[in-house]
Amino acid sequence: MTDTVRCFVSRALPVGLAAGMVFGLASGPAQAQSFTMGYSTGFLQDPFQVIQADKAIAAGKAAGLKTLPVANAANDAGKQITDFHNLISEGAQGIMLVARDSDAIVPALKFAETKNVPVVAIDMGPAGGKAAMVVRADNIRMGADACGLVAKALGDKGVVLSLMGDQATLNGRDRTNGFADCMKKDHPNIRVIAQPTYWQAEKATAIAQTIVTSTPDLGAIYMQSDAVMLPGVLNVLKSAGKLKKVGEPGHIFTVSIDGTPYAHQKIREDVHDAAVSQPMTLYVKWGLYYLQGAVAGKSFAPGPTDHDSRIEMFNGNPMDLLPAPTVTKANVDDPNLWANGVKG
Amino acid sequence: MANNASGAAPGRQIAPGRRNSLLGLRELTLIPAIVLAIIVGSFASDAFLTSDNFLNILQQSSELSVVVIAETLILLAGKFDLSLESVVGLAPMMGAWLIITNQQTGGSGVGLAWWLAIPAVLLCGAIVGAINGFLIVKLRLNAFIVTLAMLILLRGMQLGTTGGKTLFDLPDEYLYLGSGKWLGIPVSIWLAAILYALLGLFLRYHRLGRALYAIGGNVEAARVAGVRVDRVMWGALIVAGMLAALAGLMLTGRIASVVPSQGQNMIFYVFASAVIGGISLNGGKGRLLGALTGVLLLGILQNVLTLAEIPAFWIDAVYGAIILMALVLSRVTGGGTEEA
Repeated sequence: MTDTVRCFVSRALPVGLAAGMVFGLASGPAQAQSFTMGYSTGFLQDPFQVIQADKAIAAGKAAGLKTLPVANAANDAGKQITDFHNLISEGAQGIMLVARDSDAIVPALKFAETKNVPVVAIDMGPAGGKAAMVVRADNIRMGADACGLVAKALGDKGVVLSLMGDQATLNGRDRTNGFADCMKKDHPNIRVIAQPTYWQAEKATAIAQTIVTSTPDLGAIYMQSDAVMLPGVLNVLKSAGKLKKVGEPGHIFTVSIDGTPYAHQKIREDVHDAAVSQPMTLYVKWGLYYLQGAVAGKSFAPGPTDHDSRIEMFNGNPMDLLPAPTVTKANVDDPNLWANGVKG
Repeated sequence: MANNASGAAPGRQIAPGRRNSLLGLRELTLIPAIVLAIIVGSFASDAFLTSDNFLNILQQSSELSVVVIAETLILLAGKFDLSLESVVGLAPMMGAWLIITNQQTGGSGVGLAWWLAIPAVLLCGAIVGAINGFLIVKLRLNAFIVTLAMLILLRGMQLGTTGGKTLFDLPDEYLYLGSGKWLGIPVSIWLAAILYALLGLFLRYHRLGRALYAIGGNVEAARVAGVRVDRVMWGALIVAGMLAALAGLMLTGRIASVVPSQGQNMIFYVFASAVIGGISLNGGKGRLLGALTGVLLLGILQNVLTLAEIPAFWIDAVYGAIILMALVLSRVTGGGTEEA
């Protein structure tokens, strides 16, 4: 069976042990001035991936790099390995990677390592092989950010419905734990109704309908993916007569993760409060930064970074967990948000 | 046209099914389980015994119940159709894809009007049914494997067409069957009720309905008796495909979007409802009313489990255990044989 939201949901992976791993910090400027950059993506059908590839190539060009055309594996994990071979024979000296499959990409990484071509993986951490850096969003923090927004909106008391994704996926677990831990620790007066939806729209809608009609004091709804949950949840609120605009009395506060164009549209229409968005601009910016560093022979150690994130070890590779921007009415038109790159 | 003998033969085929039932009420054997679930539900939450909540249960069960009708038609004739669940996703996706003009958000750019898109959805279901019919009836391939492959193929086509995107911003008319209301009751409930009444009567009294029982009871006997087995089977598969497409349209209306996973895993609940409701997996036995009680039991359980706030990690385990208990209970109270 296919993953519901492939581009957002990484496969569940065992986290590598960070303990005992020592990385030498390179000193000096050591950013490669110019080299040939390849970009390999597992899929290019959804707007998120299209915009990300465009931005990465543009950023590479702006940094004075020579860029090869984007290699698109079109959902074929085998083709992505071939793509790696082709990019390297075309002269790529560093590769930015969006893996189709975190396990199947390992041979490609091993091949790149034998050719001394550093790779920076974006959004999804490989299960093995060598990557100079994995750049991912901090999903635990996304959940905690949503928790903070809910607590503020509810005035630290009331009832919130948490529509979880799939607890068998890494992103699902992180988004649940980040939210639940923050609620338990900092906001014990808020009652959390947590329900699993397995990233299924019908399940999320049915649960929202049941809880909305049976819980008169429901104050907020937290959705772990607006791509699959938001249309149904808003439909439920509408038919229950509880879809009030933001700021009106009786409004049920809604916050979601992903920040899709649809979520933006509903924020602009004042029916959706906030979305925690995938930090695409940061993926591209820091992905390129690490790639430049790696090509110049630099390696990166675990610990806090200078850009409000931390580097952890993940399956033997360093992983920079970037903070995700929160989208509200105030910043919904910010061009740095990925959904605003989608042409209407 | 079948000759006169076909009217009599199906009657003989159904007889063993009737003998198995207790007081002729085989289809009501789940009533104790439903009553029990309602009692538990009323203790679990104050909100359970409200008319709003019962409307929720009925609305949330409506799509499943329509797919159960579709599957029942095929099960009665002794075949399987696993691909119905992917029709629930693919058919409304095709319609939505044809409607949406913005290619960046997953549309086709065709901009088809909603009143053309809805027939296209049903046509999509009919085509899938017809292809299944060709493979099963004409080429004599095993229905289980054919529809399993079809399930995977259609799911893949759905994913390929939209590239894994959720389709939304659909016209209200397209969503009407799943979000509209008549006399304060959701349209989807009316629709499911009407279909149950019509097809229940059809299966019981119409020549073709009886023919399905006859084929499921004994294909050769039905053929000898003059039932046009191939044609009836093919028709059942096409009608089932259209019903699944309709269910998909209702579901899309309720969730106001089409998601790539729409209908996924639904077929398990379709089979669970049908079987605990007394439809035999070997064909020829069971009533639509029984299948409906199966759907209602699952719907009530899902609702009770949500309201009872069972720890999220355990909800599926509890659900599965209860389905097993219902199966045992229906065997004990009904005395029927669920040999499959």
